[in-house]
Amino acid sequence: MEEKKRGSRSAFWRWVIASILFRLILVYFPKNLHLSSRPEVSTPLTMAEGYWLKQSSISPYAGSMHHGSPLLLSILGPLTVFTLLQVDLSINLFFVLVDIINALLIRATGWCIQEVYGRTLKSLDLVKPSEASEIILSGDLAALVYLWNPFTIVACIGLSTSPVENMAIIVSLYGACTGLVPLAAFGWGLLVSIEIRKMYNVIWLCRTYGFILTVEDLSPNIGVLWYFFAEVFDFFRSFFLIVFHMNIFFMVLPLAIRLKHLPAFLAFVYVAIVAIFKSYPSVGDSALYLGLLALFANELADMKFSFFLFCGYIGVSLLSPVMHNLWIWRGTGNANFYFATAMAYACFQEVAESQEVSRKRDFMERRVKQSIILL
Amino acid sequence: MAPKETPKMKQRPIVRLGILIISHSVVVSVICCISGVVALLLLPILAKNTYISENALMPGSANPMLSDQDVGEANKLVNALLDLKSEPISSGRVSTLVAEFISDLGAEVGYHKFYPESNQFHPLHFFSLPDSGSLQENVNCSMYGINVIGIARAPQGDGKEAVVLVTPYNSENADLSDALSIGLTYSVFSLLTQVTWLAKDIIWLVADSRYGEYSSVSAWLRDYQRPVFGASLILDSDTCDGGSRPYDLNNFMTCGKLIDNFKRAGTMAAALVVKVTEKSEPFVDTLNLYAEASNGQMPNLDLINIVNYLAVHRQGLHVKVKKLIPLLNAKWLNVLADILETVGVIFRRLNPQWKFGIPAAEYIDGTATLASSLYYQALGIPTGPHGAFRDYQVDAVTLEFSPYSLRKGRHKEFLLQGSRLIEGVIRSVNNLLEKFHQSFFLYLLTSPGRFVSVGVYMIPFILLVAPLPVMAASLYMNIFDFGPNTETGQLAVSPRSVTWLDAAKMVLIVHFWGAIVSLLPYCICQMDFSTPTMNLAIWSMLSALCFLLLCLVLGLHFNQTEKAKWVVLKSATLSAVFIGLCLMSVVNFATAEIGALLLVPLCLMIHPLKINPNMGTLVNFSRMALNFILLSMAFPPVSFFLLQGAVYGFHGIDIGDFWMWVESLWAWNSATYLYITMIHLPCWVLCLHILLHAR
Repeated sequence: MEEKKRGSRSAFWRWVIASILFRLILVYFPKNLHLSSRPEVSTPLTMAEGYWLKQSSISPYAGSMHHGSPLLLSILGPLTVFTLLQVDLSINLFFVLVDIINALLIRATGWCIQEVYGRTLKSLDLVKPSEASEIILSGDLAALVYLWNPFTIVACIGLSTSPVENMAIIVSLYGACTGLVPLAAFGWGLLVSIEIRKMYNVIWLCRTYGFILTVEDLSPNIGVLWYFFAEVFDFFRSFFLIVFHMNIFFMVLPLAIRLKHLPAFLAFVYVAIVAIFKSYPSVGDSALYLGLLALFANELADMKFSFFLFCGYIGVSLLSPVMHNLWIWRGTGNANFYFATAMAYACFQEVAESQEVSRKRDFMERRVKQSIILL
Repeated sequence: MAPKETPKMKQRPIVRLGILIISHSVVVSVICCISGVVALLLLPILAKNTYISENALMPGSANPMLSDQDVGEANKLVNALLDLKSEPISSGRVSTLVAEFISDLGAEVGYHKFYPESNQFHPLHFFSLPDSGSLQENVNCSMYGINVIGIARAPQGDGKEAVVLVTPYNSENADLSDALSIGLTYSVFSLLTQVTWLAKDIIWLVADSRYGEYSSVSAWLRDYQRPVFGASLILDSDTCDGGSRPYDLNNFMTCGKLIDNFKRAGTMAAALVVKVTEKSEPFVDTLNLYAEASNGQMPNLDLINIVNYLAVHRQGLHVKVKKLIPLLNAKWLNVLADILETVGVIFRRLNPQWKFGIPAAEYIDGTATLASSLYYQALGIPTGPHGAFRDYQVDAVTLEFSPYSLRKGRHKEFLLQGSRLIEGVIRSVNNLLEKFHQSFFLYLLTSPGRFVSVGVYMIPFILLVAPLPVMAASLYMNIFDFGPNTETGQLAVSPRSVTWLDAAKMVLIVHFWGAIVSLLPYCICQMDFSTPTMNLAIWSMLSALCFLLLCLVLGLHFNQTEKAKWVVLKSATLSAVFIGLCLMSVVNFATAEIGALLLVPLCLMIHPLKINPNMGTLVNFSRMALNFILLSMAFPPVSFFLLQGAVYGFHGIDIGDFWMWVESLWAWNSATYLYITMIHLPCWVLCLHILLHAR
């Protein structure tokens, strides 16, 4: 058994190294892939332009180009200089590194969750030795799912800033799971970029968070808000802004009540909901919650429609660039073509989400009943 | 623990309908497939007559202004060009001569020097911009061509829009018809420099087609759409610097015009490529239309409509689009046409209002045209220089005149007729207020005046692919009759997701292998083996090697003990085929349709080679035979040779032809190539795997 564990561990590292190599190979074809200009990858929250504006001593938030957080700007900015002058390696390597750190943190979180889970099972006397070996090491699985998810790879090669934001979320999750309150707080702080040096005035606040809340930029992305707010009459705009944003807030409390005994799962559900209803979503956001999903592989293995949803994700993520091409480059389609795929994507995500939640609840209920029977 | 009996709730009608369809998947599949093929065969009957959709075009509302005087001038140019032919060195002289004639009209003249590119392999070209990347890598500095550009500025316009006329001209082996094509365009151009109604600038591109008609036009378009700013002029920005500047370029300097001065007008509203050929049909002046651009893209139907309308109703030309000639004599088609005609007659007798059915001859003609339309769209290779324009969203069409009157030496008569047609088309386009958008972009032609729009031709395709998800769902639901019960509440991972995860892994790996196979020709071409047959052999060997390596590295072995494995694999394969075909139908419909005809029956029928004792020997045997036939037919080389043989006859077929065909596909960045290697071939391999699966 010990040997098997060691075997799986070495397999894990082999796959991690393979994923790094795969990324480095892809880095060599940036011109063929054009990933950083894809609407699926880059949102208005990109940073290279912002750094150039800062270099030429213009506030990067004065125009409409840059809406990323100033902290990211100061971290990633210096790296982009190398990108633009020499080979694109330094910033690419940085993002590969971020991905690896993310994967390892997810793995550690998974261990932590599984340990707690195992302890609960043992305390309830539910686990038989033969079955214990059949439980998947969900931490390893989740890390590999995160690393090999095409969405993660695309976001990494496309130099989207979402891996860094994902890192902040994962750090805070990891901190929460291990009970390291300061770490969790640090991750959370990183996420909201509170501890920035006062570089510019308050402008960046409205330019980043205001920008996110008011959905000013209507360039197409994989979300549904750009289309809706391009269509909506101006005098209804604020009303629908409130409705759309309230939508998220309405879900927070009921979910918290329902899943209060499963905090890690609740965090995952929140991450997924944010990824769906965000105003400028990118594939990097989906990559995060799909990675976290694998943390609960043991519980969700028997999910309904899993194959259907899997096919749906693949189909939509392939169809979406084709529709974009039809609309923008060939001129034979129109915005509705692309928006249709965005809507299908949102639907698939929501069905998946509701299935996961109900499946998890069923599982826990069954577990409780089982323990009652055994007792 | 026994499975709980949940009380049956009354389900919603849509769910019940879904379950009904899935439980009768075999019947549904058979009905859908057959009706899909039937609907495809009915397309020529369902075709509608074309109509001018954009009101602003108003074709033929003005009388042609082109007079004998313009034609006389054009004839002078034709004669001058023919005189040049007798002189020994004429390549540079032709450009100068044409330029002189243009500047005599008072129009602007420019030259465009370009280096023809050998076609490169851009595997992801389809998703990127048309002018992406540095395209100056594979140029040969000693080979260059010179395009001549004339621009007539519009007196009424603001210089923001333009209409392009293209005349390909090969000075090295030009004959009367080439000279006439220049003369034809020249007569129109000379008229357009004088008229007052012009609202869009006219660009006349005399494309130097020594290195191919397409490459010269695409080179000009690339430079037109990608202006070079600053001091670096077009010529200097080339990788070939002034050191290799050939001698006769100095002649151009003396014309008083700088070669580096790239002439531009506004955005292009439309482009017409004018060609003349000496081949002609007896007794009629014919106009051949070519419209297919890369990846099955077509120009807006309105452009074809106005050309067709003016040619038929104003100039009395016989308009033709390409047909698959062998189909015209096919026996089965004749029989089918007769049957459909009879059915149509019966229908009309039942109710005179029903306008179903067309005469047999018309049906045969329509089918041959439709088949060629499908074939050329599916190839994804442009059928002429007009294809270069479509990459920049400009609607373009090639007009190839094959005049009978030439044989009688009546040049002037032909010039007048042809240039009046072009004048009329330009006058219509000149009226446009917006770019072409009213009419269809997605259509198939069954004759120059009849078309099948996207809404109609999607029906056969949808009917063909609809059984795939139904069958996949029914197989997937059947798995749980084989497998252990899922509701036992085990602590271990229950089989529902694990069963399909293995199959999905298999499918993904095989598709990954497909992606590798698609990249292999790139390496093979770098190695430069001599014969196509050799290349093909190396390609297939390397592909097989890669497959074995992938199997070894990623551990592609199936646990053969489990009964349900192949069923899951089939279900996953069906889903993959469905996704792939739907995706391809958006990229290039014609490819998807042909691919669906080959793949769908195969994937639905595929079954392991194992005698089922519950069925009779005859059933078992016929299923096996059918599996074999379908599998061998869907293998890409075999289907290629079968199609070739069906169209051109089986004699003289060489194995290397397949390599040549594939090479032409990737050289033109056709999405069909990606389809074959990344969707069709992997699915075929998966079907083979299922067939050889020992249950």
